[in-house]
Amino acid sequence: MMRRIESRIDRYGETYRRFRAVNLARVEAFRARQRDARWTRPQRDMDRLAHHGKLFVRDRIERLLDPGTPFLELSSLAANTEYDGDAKSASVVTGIGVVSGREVLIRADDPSIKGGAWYPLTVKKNVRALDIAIENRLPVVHMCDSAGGFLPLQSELFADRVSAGRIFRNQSILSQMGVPQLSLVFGHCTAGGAYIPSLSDYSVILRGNGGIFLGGPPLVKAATGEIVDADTLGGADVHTRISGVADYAADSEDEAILLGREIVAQWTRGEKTRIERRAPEAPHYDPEELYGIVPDDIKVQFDMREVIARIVDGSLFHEYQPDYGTTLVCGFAWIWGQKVGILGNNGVLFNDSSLKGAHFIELCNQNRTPLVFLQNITGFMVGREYEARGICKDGAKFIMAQSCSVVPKFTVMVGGSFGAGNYGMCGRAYDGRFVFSWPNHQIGIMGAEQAANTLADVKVRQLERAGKTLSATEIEAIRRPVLESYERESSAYYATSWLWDDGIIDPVDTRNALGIAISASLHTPIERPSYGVLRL
Amino acid sequence: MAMGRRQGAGRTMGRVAGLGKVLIANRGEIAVRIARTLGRLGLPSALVAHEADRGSPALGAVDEVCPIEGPTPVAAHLDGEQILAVAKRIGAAAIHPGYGFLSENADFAEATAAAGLCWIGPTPRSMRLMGDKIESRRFVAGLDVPLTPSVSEADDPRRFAERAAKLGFPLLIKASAGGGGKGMQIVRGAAALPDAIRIARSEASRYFKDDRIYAERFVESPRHVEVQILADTHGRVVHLGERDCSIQRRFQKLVEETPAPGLPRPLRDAICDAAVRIARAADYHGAGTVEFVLAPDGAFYFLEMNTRLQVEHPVTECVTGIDLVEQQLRIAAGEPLAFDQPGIEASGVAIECRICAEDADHDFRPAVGEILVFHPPKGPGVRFDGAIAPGQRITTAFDPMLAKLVVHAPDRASAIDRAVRALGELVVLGCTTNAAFLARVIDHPDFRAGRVETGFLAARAAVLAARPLDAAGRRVVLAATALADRDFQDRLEAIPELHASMGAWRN
Amino acid sequence: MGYDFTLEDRDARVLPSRKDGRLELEIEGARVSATLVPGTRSGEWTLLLDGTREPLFLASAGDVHFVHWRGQTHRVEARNALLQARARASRAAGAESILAPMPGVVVSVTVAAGDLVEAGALLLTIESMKLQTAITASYAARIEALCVATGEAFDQGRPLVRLGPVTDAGGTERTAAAEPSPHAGRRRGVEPRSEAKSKAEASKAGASRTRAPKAGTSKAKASKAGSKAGSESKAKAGRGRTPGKKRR
Repeated sequence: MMRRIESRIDRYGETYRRFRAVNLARVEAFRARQRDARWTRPQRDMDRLAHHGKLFVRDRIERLLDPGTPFLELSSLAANTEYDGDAKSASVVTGIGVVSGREVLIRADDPSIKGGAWYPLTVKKNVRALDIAIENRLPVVHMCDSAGGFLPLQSELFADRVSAGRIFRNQSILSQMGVPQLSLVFGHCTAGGAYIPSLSDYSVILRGNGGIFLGGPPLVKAATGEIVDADTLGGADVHTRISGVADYAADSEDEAILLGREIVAQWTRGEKTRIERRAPEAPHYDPEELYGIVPDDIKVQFDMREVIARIVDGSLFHEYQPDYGTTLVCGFAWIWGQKVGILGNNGVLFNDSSLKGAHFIELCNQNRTPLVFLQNITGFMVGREYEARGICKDGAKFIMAQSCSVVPKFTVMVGGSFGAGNYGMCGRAYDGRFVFSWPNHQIGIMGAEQAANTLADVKVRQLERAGKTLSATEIEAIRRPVLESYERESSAYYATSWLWDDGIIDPVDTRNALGIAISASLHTPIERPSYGVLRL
Repeated sequence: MAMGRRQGAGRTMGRVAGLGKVLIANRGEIAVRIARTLGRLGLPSALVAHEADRGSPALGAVDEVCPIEGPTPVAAHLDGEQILAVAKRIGAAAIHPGYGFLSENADFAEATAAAGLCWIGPTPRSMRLMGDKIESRRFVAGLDVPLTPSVSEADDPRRFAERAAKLGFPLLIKASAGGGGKGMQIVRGAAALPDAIRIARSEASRYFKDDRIYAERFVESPRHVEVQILADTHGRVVHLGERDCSIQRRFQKLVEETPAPGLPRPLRDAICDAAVRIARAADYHGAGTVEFVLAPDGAFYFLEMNTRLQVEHPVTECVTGIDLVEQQLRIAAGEPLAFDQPGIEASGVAIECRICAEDADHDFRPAVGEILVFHPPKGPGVRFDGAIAPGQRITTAFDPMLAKLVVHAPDRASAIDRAVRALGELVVLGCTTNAAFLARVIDHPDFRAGRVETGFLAARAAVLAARPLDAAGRRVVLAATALADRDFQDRLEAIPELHASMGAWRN
Repeated sequence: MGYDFTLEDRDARVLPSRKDGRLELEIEGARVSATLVPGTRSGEWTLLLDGTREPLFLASAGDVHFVHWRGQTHRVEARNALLQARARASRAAGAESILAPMPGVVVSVTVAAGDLVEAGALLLTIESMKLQTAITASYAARIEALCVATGEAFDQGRPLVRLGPVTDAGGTERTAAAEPSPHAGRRRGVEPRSEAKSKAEASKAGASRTRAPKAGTSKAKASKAGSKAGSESKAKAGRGRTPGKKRR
């Protein structure tokens, strides 16, 4: 029993039309970057691929997936602001799809970029993909075709806690958990890369192009003087007939992929966690209207219920405490037939909205209901009165409840994500299962203007103490670089480039992205909830 | 069933005196057909059967099944010695050879008689006389029956080509011992003659172990018209009307009907009269068929005589109400025909369509497979002579003809409608048949108008080809297939409902 | 494999999907709701397709389905994509050696160079540790060369026989389906020497022809992926989606 949200949007009004024009332009800009990341490659690299008879990475994935089923690509714009934009999508495609009826995580090297070499952010994306597999107990299909680590940047990708070693550690943990992995070896897996098929429960290697070796022919020659060709060193026949490093040999990529589909079909499907379900229903309000709801300016407030109405089944919503702590909208809804508890920002977090949020999270934990956070937050309220009322301890309760929450959590950055608001509303640090962002999203310790003003103010006061006064031009000269740097680093593109989220999505795709993500998350059982010490 | 529709002309239903157990030396639909009459007349029936006949309903249609062996299934059915031994062992009184196999083998007929068994067919002498194309033409030439100009190789082998060319083109080169269209070549000019002779001779040698050939003038746009004869051993010869068998592929009949459409009464009488004259002169006994070529100008020429029951005999049975197998049995038992020519009345139109295991859309190539589902058409005026049953394996071991659909109606248009409907109702799954092709043939405006000739199918190959299904039709067939496919069902159940609902969405 | 069918010499794809919990099929791009309801006679069904009733008869023999609908019988083949890919690959691939799985002695050789063999055909028999093992072809192929003779001893990993692609003079692939053979799967010319030779020559000519289109396809793929906006918008059109357009 739920009631339909009554939308108050005037679809014929001037504001709606203006917002819509701005957001369509934002989405088009996002799509243009995505197209570039997905399809634009130097001709030389495409020629090399063709010469070796290799399929483009996205064609490999399309052939692997069950026809007529969705694929949720993750972090399509990873690394878009780094390495002069060379590492498109961080040189690896990851996502969740259905193979032989099983929801799997696909991790596919992209050999059309520097032979599939791993940049530091490639490693980060790979680790994140396998973290997703571990957290959601998703089987993994690796499509291996990588030249190995990008040596000029080796220091950034090798030694740290979440560097390359973490990939193989995660693979081992997955196997330990009983979550199967399959490697389809389309190209070379050299050095560390050799462990990906070796640590997979199943592997298929392509005759001709496929190769697995700790040291490739040049390294072998340098190390021992032995001269050997790649096929003899670690080709399909060596590994499937003699070494046992790989399980199946295939004569074409098509054959390898189809064999892979057959292998996945052998995997026993685990019981999914039981949550409340019902038959899915499209939202009553057209998700496309989201373009007319999100304002053109990050500082302009909008009603999160209007967003909820365009994401959830039938636009139906049971709102919790509708008259208390009104800057945080809480309530129950269905997404693709899956029951969720939603928390959405309708302004700054006050004491009451923090308490409401903490309480609602606890309800959902007792109720075994996954949580969806819709972030558009500038932070917790500041000022004497609020400090006196204990905004810090109320905020702490919210953060504590959210951190200790055991139900799957999903975050969508629909607007700003500033300051401690990011913490309470399940920012990246809080191990939500997935974080998605809209193209208009901005993120930072504070807003760019606030930061620029704060820094300029500090500088002015320093100089005043030294007896100097600054002209408006001089103040602007301090302000501008800070503003520019903040604007750049708080943009959704910078955030997604550094894997602070799992990808920018078109707002109208939010419902499907969440639907797939929630479904994937239910492979992991939900534990009994418990919390730390709450400052009461 | 049209057969036995009325009791005219003294058709007796009584027992056939002097005949005992009848061994059917055949298989398939004709074995079922013969067994049906034997059963009706209270005569015990037996059937020879090779391993390859296993699963055929013919085995269940008789009282006794006798296994025969051979290097190939066809060889077993052609092994007269073995079959005679079987007949003697089981105490058969008579052998009915059906059509094909040993039915026109005079030596076998003779051996049967010598073994003290009754041969359900003409005397070996008439079989020899009429069975040889050259001999029979020579015989018929003396009876004032028109013949196409022809030359025989045997007369002067060295000048055969020269003499053949003198007949004028187009020419037909045939095997002297031939039949069933094998070894036939149409030659339209002198240049093609040497090759045609060579090919005809090699085919004649291969199919009939007799490489003698002859040449005759080929009549353009001919019709194939034949006359059903019955002759008893007491000197009475009658005809049961004519059949038009012009719809042929590869010189083999596909659709037969009676009466021949659009034949003027005097012409029909002249043809039937010629047939009776030939049978009488040949001292013929039993059921036989005299075949003629009918030119567009109404001229007709003797083609050959078939000294056996024809595949297409049911159309005659439908319109006359006379059971031809019964008459064969009675004549063989020495009974006189119980009716004379004026006592034979034909009513309505009957059409037969031969249901063959073949792919009409791919050059009529033979089709094979196991019959999975079979439902014959039913209804008034529909007769289905067949030996098809689920589980039966259709192989290339035998002739591809599986069954015959015969319809009978008061007029030709109704008969065609009835046949088209019945062909659509016939369900044979597991092995491709020509049923849909046959429906297109008889539904063609030219067939409906009676404009038939032996080149009918070849001239209309394009319009008679199966029209591909439209998009909506493909959806019906593919939807049904997919839902029935085991792997598809597995997939259907495997894909989570949420993802199936979302379809091929990409972000 | 459950998706690809051939009807009237044309390939077709049928995808299962659901709408509001009900089964839908996407057939050659069109979405229909479809249910089969059994009839009373054997093989008799009624297909409910988007609300219309289509009586039909249906039977299957393995991967071949027969559908009798509106007086016509249609033969539909379900295609196994993996087997097809294997067949393509074995044809496209160059020669491949079968290696000795263990050390042993050749007991007998069943084929000669130039022979065409079906998948599963016996090539030679070896003996090792008092156990005889049959070496068979894993796919339809032509025997390029025999590397061992009867009585010869060999080590593990030694090439025993080299297999090459099966092509005929026309450059078209010869498959088992096109020429069914009831025998042990082995095809051999009637006149072994002369015919084998002409086949070998023909297949050399054929092999170069069959490779050509493969390279062409790869190039087409490259240019598709290489072009920028064009390829993406094409992909979009294929899915019937345009960014920023209403889609419910």
